[in-house]
Amino acid sequence: MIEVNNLSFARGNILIYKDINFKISPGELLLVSGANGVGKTTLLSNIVNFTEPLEGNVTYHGTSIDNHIASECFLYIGENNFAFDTLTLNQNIDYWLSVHNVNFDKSIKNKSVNFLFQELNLDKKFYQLSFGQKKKLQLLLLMLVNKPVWILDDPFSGLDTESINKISTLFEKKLENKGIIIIASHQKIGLNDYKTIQLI
Amino acid sequence: MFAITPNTLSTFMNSISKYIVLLSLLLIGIAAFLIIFIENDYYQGISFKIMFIHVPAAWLSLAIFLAMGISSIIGLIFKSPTAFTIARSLSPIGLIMSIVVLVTGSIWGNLTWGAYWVWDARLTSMLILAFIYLGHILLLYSFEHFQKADFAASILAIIGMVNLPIVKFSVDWWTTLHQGSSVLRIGGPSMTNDYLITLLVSFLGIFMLTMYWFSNIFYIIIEKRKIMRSKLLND
Amino acid sequence: MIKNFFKLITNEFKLMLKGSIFSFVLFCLLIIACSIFSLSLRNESMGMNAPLSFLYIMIFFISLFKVEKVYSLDFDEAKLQQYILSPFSLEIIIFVKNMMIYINLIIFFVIFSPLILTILNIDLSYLVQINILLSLSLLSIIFIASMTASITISKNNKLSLTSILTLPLFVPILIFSMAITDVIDFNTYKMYLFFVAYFLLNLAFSPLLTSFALKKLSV
Repeated sequence: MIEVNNLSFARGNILIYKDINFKISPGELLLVSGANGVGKTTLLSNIVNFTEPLEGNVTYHGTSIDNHIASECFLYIGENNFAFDTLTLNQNIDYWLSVHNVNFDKSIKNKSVNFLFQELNLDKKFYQLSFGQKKKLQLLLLMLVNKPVWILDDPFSGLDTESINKISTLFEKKLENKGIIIIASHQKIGLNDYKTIQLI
Repeated sequence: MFAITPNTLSTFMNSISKYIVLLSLLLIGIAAFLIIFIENDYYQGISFKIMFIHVPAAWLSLAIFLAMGISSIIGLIFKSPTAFTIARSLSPIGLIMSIVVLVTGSIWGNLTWGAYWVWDARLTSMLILAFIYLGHILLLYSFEHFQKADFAASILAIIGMVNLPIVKFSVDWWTTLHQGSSVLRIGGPSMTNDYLITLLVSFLGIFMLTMYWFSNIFYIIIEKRKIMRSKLLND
Repeated sequence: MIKNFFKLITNEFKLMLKGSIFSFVLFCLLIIACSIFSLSLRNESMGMNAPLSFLYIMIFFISLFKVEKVYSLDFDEAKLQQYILSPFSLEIIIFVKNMMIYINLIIFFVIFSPLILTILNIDLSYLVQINILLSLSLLSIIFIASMTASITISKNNKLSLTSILTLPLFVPILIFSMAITDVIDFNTYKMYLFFVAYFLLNLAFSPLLTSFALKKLSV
């Protein structure tokens, strides 16, 4: 369960948001929505403890989140792509899985790549991909890294409807397994019930 | 102690700065009087009198770096904006002091050694100190948010503080031309009493002058921040 | 965890190999600069000190460029976020990255060193000693450069600022090596110990300060 109490954040001398309160229990999805520049990304990075809030605190199962808890329980996928331009897709996947300390066998990897991409030559260089394919490569981590909380910043940008449906089924499975998902997005999500919080 | 806010410190500094500047002017006047009427050194003639500026400035430039490093550590540990602001307002004074040391030293060197600059232990380490001060100031003013700038500059101050003794020791290996310490040494000072008193008076005078500078710079930084904040709130 | 750590090291090694074109370009520039240096001073009879210190300054700048490049590419915001959330601590990742930069540069230096020494008119009988000297000092150089590169990583005018912050800290290294080369036979093994000590000092606080600066300043 993630609890956010009285959170406010200032960048430099400018207040971005203040007094944000919400609770998410396992098996729930939270959509953070709002216009550009109201601090959606900042809120997410505050929850993961990348930046320190001005006031208030964020707790996960009762303990306030520090770097250790964040690295054990949270999977964060931001707007910008983290893959290396110079490596091939295969090398990129290997690299980030080893950074996340994941052991896997090839069949699982191939299965999940097939699920998202249908057919893709994994020996391509990363920069040869299109924008949507790059985004999907980021989302591949969702299937391979096993952590209880997903925090996603605008996961649907640049994706076609088919891929959005696939990602939505992934979300459903995660929620069935009592995971927590926090999403910042402008788009609606194709799920039946989820919480929303509107930033002003 | 680290709970003091920058604002209270700045108003306190502003209130006592008048007395500090009067005291420093008085001390510097006495020191100037003493320097003019003191006997010339037998070997060096009149040129040695530049020492009464050179030595205090050298002490101060080292002491200011130490103070900067300590207040940076305090700032990083206790997240105290006061300590960061102290470090921020100390570094220009340190730069000026080290430049004064270099300039007076090279004038003196030209008169006695016959060269403005020699690659010698003390000179080199003082030059490096000046460069580190310069880097600190550049780093402070190259960030848009002053909190980030304070973090970055305090890390540099800590790196510099750890490295400076090493720079000094490594440089000391070269056979040194510069004379050894004559005041703070084992077995008491090796100067005569009237020289020592003059040196101490002029040191106190220059120290008070730096305190006055420090309080002024601190006050200006805080006032600028206040103006910025009120502008932001009115927009 | 251990298995994945070795996997991470091999992956970093692959990444380093991909980036070695940049180091190759830097070393080509070094050779050109060395030839200009000896061409302009061809009529002077120099000892070893002048060409060696020129070589040192060029190596300082090469490692600064390289570290700055690697840090700005590998620690941009998205990658840094993943590194922070990985089970390996950021300090270890920084250490691995620094060592990979070191290996990359030192391999190039060992390959090019006979050519460079010939261009600079240094006797080739000193080849092994100069290689040892530079390989020891390059360790400290890279760890110092990584600290200042991480401080300036979120700035636009990175390189100029990094060099003014870092170059004063390189002075001890230059002095140690000049003290060694003053004794022309390089027989002072005690002096080499100072390099090791200086490196250990940097090793103690450099990854800590680097990761602290990266976490605070660039996310």
